[in-house]
Amino acid sequence: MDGSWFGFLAFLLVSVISVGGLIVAAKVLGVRARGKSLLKERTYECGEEAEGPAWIRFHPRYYLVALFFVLFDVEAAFFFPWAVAEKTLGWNGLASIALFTGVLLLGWWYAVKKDALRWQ
Amino acid sequence: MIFAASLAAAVVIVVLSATALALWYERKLAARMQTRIGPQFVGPIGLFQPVADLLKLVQKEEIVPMGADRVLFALAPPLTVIFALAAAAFVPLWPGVAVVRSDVGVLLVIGFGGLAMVPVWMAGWASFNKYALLGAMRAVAQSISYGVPLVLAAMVPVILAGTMDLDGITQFQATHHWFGLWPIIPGLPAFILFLLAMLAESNRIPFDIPEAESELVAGVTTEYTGMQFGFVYLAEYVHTVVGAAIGSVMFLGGWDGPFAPGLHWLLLKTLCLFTFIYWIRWTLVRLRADQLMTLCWKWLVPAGLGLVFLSAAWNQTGWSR
Amino acid sequence: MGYFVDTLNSIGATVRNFLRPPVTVNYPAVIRPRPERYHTSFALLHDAPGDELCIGCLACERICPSFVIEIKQAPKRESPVTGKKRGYVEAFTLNLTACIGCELCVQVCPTDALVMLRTPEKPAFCREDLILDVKRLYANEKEKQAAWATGSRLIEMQDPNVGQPKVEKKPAPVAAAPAPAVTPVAASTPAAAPAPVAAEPAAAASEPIKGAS
Repeated sequence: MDGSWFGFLAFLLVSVISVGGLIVAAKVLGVRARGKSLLKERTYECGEEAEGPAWIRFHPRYYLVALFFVLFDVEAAFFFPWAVAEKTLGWNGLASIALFTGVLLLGWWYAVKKDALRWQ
Repeated sequence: MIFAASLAAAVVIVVLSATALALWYERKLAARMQTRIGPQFVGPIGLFQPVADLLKLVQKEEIVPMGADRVLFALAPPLTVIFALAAAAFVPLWPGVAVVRSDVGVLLVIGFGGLAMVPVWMAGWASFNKYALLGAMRAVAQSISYGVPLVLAAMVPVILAGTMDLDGITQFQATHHWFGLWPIIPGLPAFILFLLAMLAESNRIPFDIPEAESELVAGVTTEYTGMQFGFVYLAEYVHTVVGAAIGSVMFLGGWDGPFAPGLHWLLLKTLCLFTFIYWIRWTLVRLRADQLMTLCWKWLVPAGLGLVFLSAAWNQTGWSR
Repeated sequence: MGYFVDTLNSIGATVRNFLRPPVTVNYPAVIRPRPERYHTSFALLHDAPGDELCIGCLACERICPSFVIEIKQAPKRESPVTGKKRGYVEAFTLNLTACIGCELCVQVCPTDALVMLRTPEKPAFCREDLILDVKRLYANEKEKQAAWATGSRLIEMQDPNVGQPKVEKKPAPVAAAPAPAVTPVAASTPAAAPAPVAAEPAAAASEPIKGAS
């Protein structure tokens, strides 16, 4: 491990200590209720009684977003090595990455036409 | 070794205290923008207001709601702060010096920025509250969506400088030109795209849909009290401060500047970006969830791709030398 | 496109606001001149010889839109001052927690017994502090400053015949404008009206605050 990563460890350690210090301060200084109050521990749903469990089913659109994210993030992962070496790769490298992006954009265009990118 | 450790400690302390100052600064700024006065009673011109806020939050009772996942619930808010802080370790402070100098600094910074949404999801899931869960769901969807334009915008300086080392990028800017200003066509739009995506990733107004108080009470923070709430709140500000610092490193030349030491320039540029971000925040209204997603996937992602190719093309032309 | 133009416009508006001086003042340290018709809490008054003015007619209780006044009438008895038989109240409870400050009760009071106060209300420490009973109402008369309005003044203000002649007497500021333009209500603004009723005990009300516009 070289010196700079030791610096990062120290960085994490100091931030954990400062955050931990605040937690301890909150534990020490924070007020505590004498008795247990069921009302206080209820989940807050604007004053209504909470109905059923909170871990509800949600809309599949989030799944679509996750799919797109994976798609485009993989693309970004491919992009970065090219981006660093761009100057030496020249027009040739630009053409190859353009081909790759062209295929990706075809898929993107299909998704747009299918209305998959609309937040329904 | 000792230098690295003390530098790390100094950076954490400076970022945290800068965040506290930023809280005060933002409130004063917001007050002036609404022709109010703002905090003024705690200390001279209200400077100690964040301290008073902190003391207030620390004293409050911590309530864990019924049915919550206690471990995750307690763990999430401190983690948000730590992850938001972590990105600051890669910011080059003056020529050649950062807490961590890494060859893949850009990637690490973006990675830690994205990691910050994991504790948000933890908090939303553990709260056992529908509002918190929906807020967390939206936060994650928004964060990962805007992660893509963020990566694309950050790729423009990488291509122009030919390195992923943040210090290398700054050095290139010092010897050539600031990317936010020149080349104006991929540079300035990429800078704006970067700011937008960063705002969206840290869930700030006008992208604060995850905690839209008129729809979702307070999003993931609904069930949090006292210092636990304070951590989430703090993390948001840390995220903004660190994001502004990284934005100024990648697009405004970081420590580069005449007459003054590098650190001064970095702080000044960060302050300017921070002011700009809060200017936007106190001007614009919240976007709708569907507008946000449409904006991201239909406009910003293709625009980001276009900028990447433009900057690559710029590299190949004769003007870049 | 319109969205972007609007965005830029609003960003400009924030900057313009930023450059303007703050319009708010440092409230507890700096207190703006309060409006002349500023009114907060309530008081019951005595007349000049020292007899209670309230006759227990229930007019205020009946008109109150939020039903905050509750009156228990006392049996009619002779007044210690004039010797005439008249009504009194046994209990007069005014619940400030629900009062909307519309001043209707003051307006209907036939004897000008109930008035509102100019003294700023301090937040109370418990709800009971906000429920004014007879004792508190009479204590307010002595301790605090009454607002300008009394029943007869408010009635006079709305009487189209009262304001008119006064405007003619003092032609200097108003006569410049064509006479029909001056509506009766406008002619008897608070600044002009107090003069004819100044002899009343509640005249202490016209506290000399002239900063308000």
